[in-house]
Amino acid sequence: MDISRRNLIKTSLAASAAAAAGITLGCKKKETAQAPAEQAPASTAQAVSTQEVDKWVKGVCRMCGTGCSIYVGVKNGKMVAIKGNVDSKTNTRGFLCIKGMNIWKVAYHPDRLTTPLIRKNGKLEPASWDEALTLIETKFKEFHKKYGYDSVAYYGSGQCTTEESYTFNKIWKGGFGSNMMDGNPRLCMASAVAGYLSSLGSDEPAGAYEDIEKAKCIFLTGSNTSEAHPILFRRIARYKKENPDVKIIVCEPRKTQTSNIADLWMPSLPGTDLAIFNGMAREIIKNNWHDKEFISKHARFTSGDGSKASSFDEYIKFIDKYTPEYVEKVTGCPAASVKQAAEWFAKSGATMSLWCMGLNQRSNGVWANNLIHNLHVITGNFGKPGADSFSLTGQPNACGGVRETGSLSHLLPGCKPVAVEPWRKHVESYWKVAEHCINPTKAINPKPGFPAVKLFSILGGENEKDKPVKAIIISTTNPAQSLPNLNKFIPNMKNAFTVVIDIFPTRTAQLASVVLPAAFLYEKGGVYGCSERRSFLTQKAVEAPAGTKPDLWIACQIAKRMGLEKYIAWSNEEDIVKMAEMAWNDYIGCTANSEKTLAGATYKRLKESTTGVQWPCPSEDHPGTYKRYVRGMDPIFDNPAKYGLKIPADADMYFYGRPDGKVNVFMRDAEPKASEKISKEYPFLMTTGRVIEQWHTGTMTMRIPETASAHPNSYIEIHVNDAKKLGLTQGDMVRVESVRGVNILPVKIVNMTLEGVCFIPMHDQKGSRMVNFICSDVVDATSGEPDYKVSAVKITKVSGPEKVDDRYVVTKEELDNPTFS
Amino acid sequence: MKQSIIFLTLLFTLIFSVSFAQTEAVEHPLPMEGKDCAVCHAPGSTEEIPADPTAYQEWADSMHGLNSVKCVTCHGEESTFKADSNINICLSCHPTETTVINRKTESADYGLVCSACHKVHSFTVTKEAKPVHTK
Ligand code: SF4
Repeated sequence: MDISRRNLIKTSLAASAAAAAGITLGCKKKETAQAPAEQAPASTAQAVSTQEVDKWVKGVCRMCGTGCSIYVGVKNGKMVAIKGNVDSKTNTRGFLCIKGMNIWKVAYHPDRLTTPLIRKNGKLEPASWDEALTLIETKFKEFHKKYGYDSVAYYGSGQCTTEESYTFNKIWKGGFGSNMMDGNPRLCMASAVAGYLSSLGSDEPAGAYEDIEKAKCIFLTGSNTSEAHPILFRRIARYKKENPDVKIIVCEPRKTQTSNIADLWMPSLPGTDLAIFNGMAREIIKNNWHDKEFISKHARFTSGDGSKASSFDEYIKFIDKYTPEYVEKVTGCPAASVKQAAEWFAKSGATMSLWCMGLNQRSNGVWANNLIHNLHVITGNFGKPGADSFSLTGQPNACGGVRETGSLSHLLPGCKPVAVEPWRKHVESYWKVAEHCINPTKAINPKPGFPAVKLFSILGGENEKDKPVKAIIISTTNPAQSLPNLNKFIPNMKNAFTVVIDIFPTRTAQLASVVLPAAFLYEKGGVYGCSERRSFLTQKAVEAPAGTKPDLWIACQIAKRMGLEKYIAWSNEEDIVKMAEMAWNDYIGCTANSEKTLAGATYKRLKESTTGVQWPCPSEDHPGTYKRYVRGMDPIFDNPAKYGLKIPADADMYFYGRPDGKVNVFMRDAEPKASEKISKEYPFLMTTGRVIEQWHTGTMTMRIPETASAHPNSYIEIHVNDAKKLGLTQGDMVRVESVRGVNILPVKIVNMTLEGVCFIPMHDQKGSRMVNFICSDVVDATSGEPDYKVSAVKITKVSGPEKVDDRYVVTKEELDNPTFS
Repeated sequence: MKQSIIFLTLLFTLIFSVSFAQTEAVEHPLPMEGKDCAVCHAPGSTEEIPADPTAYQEWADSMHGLNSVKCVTCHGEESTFKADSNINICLSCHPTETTVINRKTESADYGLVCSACHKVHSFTVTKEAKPVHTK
């Protein structure tokens, strides 16, 4: 072998570097070689130097809702590296977390699906694209005729590009005249949407990430930001380090890494934190810390059920029950902490609240959102730098792709309800529905379709009379792992005609009738819009592997075959980048007269921009909007009539989404009435969540060696005192059981959770470790979002420690066998 | 004068440590048996052979520790293990600094190792008036 001198030096120095790094300290010599763990091909294991890359292509991270912008390094037509974008306004200075820096590697994993599959006699057999699409066309047409247009559903994702979600939405709502389509943001963001709509009158935050560095107090609740949004946490941590006087309050059941930067950690038993929010409001008013002027100008007090207007006095009476002592009794949060938090929240000068699934995934998720908005109204923490009530989103394009394009069962583009007639008529006319719709109604259905959990419960086979939805096309998401109470929904997906679009074998693909192999984000490009209303274009960096197709192409083929060729004008285009541009232009035209306008964010501008664009952005010369509802900052004030709104000429601040321009302050009761309660038989409260190295159902992150090794399997965290009571030691295997299902998991004994509360991460694909078999499928009555954060379980020891760090993923071979072992 | 001496010393150290820049995967000294790094490396390890708790503690106290930039981010996992990280790993998250360093050293075909200035594992920001990666 020819070893160059330079390589020789490198190798020997690497060995001495190990010594220098102290790695070998006290170690005995390795005796047996280990079988290498399964990993991506060797080519993805090497870091590539900047000099070796042919080009860097601009884009966004494929993972969480932070929306970090990146450059993908391409060499010889292949992705070889990722670096952060230093111009970014999201991941300032270009920081990335371990998921973002490794995301490109999944594209080259040997499990990539590269041919369509059709189930024949129980087995998924390779098929041509034409064969697969013909089958889909035949079935869809047959079901439309036999069972009506609502019998064929679409289930999308906050990871599809905006162009893709918009296209599917346009096909279903205007092309088929059916609202039987929803998306996985229903499982994570729906309560935030309903919270913003009911309180402020318009979805998505008023402010932006840059409020972080302007805030004097940051209230993090229902969010383990350090792991779920690592780069935002880095921003907050850096800001706190440089500004120690800024107060950080963390309110959540577990004392996670997030609370390491906190001045105050407020524990709360899962499901109870609404009492804390009402208690803080009571303390604020009792101490006269409320902002009287802001309240008189911008607050509308409203009864708990939202039916009638009320008054400030009534509100004071309503919250009087939530004394700090009462709150302590209900939540476990010390009374003194409630008082302290109230003072900092009200008196710091500018408070920013950030929350995520901890509030949204709850039986009273919308109300939890409302109560945070309440706190901001009574303390005047809106509209000024550093003050905002800011919902963090979990997926990279839940906001841009699904909320803004209205790709949920009750919405239309611009995030306006289908039931709102003037907007529905506008969309009908913009889309020319009367001309193109294949449904004889020739109109968009004014009645909403079904939200995810309901949709999957009425999905079934042709012989199931009580299940009217017979077919579903599922894009870029994995409901057979991510829905709650899986035992209830798995048979439905198996019995229906289920089409799955994905890049890997998944639990859902195991149930599919047809599997379509998709292109990866960097193999197609498209727009993602993150938590802070910012849309950013990912440019196509490399060619997709032979046999795979972008979802947008797939949507267009279905449109064509269903007779919507003229309706989806871009379905006749060959080039995927051109198709995406046409879809984007159609979308921004459709919403140009809504407050979500991105009319100024042309594709040309997005291509050139290294920062993306925040809506409202009405024209190409508009810079995008940092703060909504404030005259001089929000362009809606310049021409409200254009958006069908009225804003008084003398109003400096106006919540124009509400008929009276005022924010609803709701008298929402704190008790989680619908949530599951603990009992003698099921004495532990179980909650779920993320870890930093994994993402969603692990289909990508469990295939990256670095992230898989750091979290190779799920486990159950329980408090040290509970472990003692149960006679458990670290690593013991336990059976975790709810009335719905069972997991067998290793125990992780901790002292950072509350006694009686246990936690299981949500990423593991192994059947016996899939936490969603256990999770409650109770949903929020308004948003339809499931109560993943509160389930009652019992825990019993099964055995001593066992080796379960198998980094399990569903393989191609297992696609034929839909048992979830 | 003092400053230029410091600068020259720094430059020398950087050039001397250049070969670390292209560190390749080496074998982890012991089979990891699927254990998390912290099991052996964290202070208070009860393992038979605990390894370098000081480094772990320095990391835990650093911004990397606070932000959960864990061992695997820089050192890889067992099959991709690198005893020392290299500039191209740092590149992903610190693109400005690493790009400037690379540009300065490109002609000599040298990369540099960030840890020459930013001490592993505490990664303190260098106090030099003129860090080498200033544009
Ligand atoms: S914080 Fe989120 S968006 Fe940023 S790199 Fe990590 S996973 Fe990607």
